Amino acid sequence: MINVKEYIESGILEDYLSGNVSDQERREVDCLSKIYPEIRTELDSLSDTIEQFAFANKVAAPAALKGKIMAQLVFAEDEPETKVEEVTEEEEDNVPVLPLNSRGNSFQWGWVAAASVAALVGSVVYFNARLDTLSTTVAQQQNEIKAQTTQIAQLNDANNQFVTLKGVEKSPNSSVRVVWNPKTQEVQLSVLSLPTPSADKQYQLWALVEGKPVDLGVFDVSTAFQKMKTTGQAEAFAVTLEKKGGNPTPHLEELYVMGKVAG
Amino acid sequence: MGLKTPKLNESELLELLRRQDRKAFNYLYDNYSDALYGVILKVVRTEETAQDLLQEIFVKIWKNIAQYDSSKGRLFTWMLNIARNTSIDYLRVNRLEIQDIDTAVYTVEQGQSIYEEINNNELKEVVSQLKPEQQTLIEMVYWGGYTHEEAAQRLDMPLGTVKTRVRSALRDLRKFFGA
Repeated sequence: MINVKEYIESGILEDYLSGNVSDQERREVDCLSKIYPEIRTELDSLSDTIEQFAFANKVAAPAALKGKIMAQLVFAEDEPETKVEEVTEEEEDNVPVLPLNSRGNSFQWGWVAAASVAALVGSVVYFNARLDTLSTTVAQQQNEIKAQTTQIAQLNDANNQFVTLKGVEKSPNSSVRVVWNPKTQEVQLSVLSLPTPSADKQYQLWALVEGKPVDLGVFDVSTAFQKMKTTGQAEAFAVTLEKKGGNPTPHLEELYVMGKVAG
Repeated sequence: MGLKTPKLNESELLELLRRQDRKAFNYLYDNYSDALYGVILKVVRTEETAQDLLQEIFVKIWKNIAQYDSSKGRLFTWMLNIARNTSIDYLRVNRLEIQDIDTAVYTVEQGQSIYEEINNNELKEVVSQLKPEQQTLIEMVYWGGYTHEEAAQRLDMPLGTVKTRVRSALRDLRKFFGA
């Protein structure tokens, strides 16, 4: 039995909150604050004071910081695939291991039944909880399919011209596919093969219009079709490697692929 | 007085945090980042460093939230401990910055406009009732992770005096806050 009042007045709680206690003293405070509500109340009240003091001194952190931090974190909805895998793993764990053959005594059947019911209830609770995550995944996939269907419809347009840009001396194995619709003026591009550029560089697409290069924008190395800037005219397309963000005019010594428009 | 928009209670917030819910992070950050940033700024004094530390601290909070035990104390107290330990680690690795904490202490001692960032006038008034020396002690010991011995050495005070004053500063502050 300790004298609670004396213990509180000894100042140990303040020292606990400032980290000025030994490991033993820390365990003592953790333990006593669970046993004696007065100690718990005092500890919470002192914690509140420190919190209020901190809030009284708050300084607005730069707005950009939040995004930087969030980019480093993993959120539940960011990894639907992983979640689905987890379901399979834990499903296996949920199957009760019942030693029926080794111990066939009839009185064990009650336990077997109980275990099965428990596993069933557990699974129901578990899968209900997962349902939210899974329906989010389904919704995301539906959106992707929708976007892809729209894209396929665009690619099927009878007015489209498919131009395969082939590698020049610098990079003979490279190739890029351009889909250009002279009617809607839309230009889409898919990388079939290009060397990965350094972080400070980006590939840039050009249209040759009456012998002059016209900027159609920069793109990343990806097999997915990317929308580029529009053009109503083009004799040929070409790709050069430029500084990140692109240049107003192409560096021809950095020409990677090019291809003529049929016709 | 603490939270700006008390829409979630602490156990609801914790439940969402444990599920790594994005909303929960937004809530946590929007409510606590400015208070923690203010604390770190007192300890390291350069904004650039304080911003790096704030990032590190929130990443740690996010990764370790499952270890927080609400039966042992308040959420902010737990976060403050992470902030304090991260700042101490930083100061120990970069000895140069320890000079900065000296400057911080002197700034407070000279009663310069260290509290100009306070946007809540009521709180400002409350805090100004504390003697500058008490403010310094709270900042050094509760925020900066100074041991009593280190604080005694820095402020050139007997150890016993520091111990007594650190404790009484917090009690005085509580009286002002009316808790």
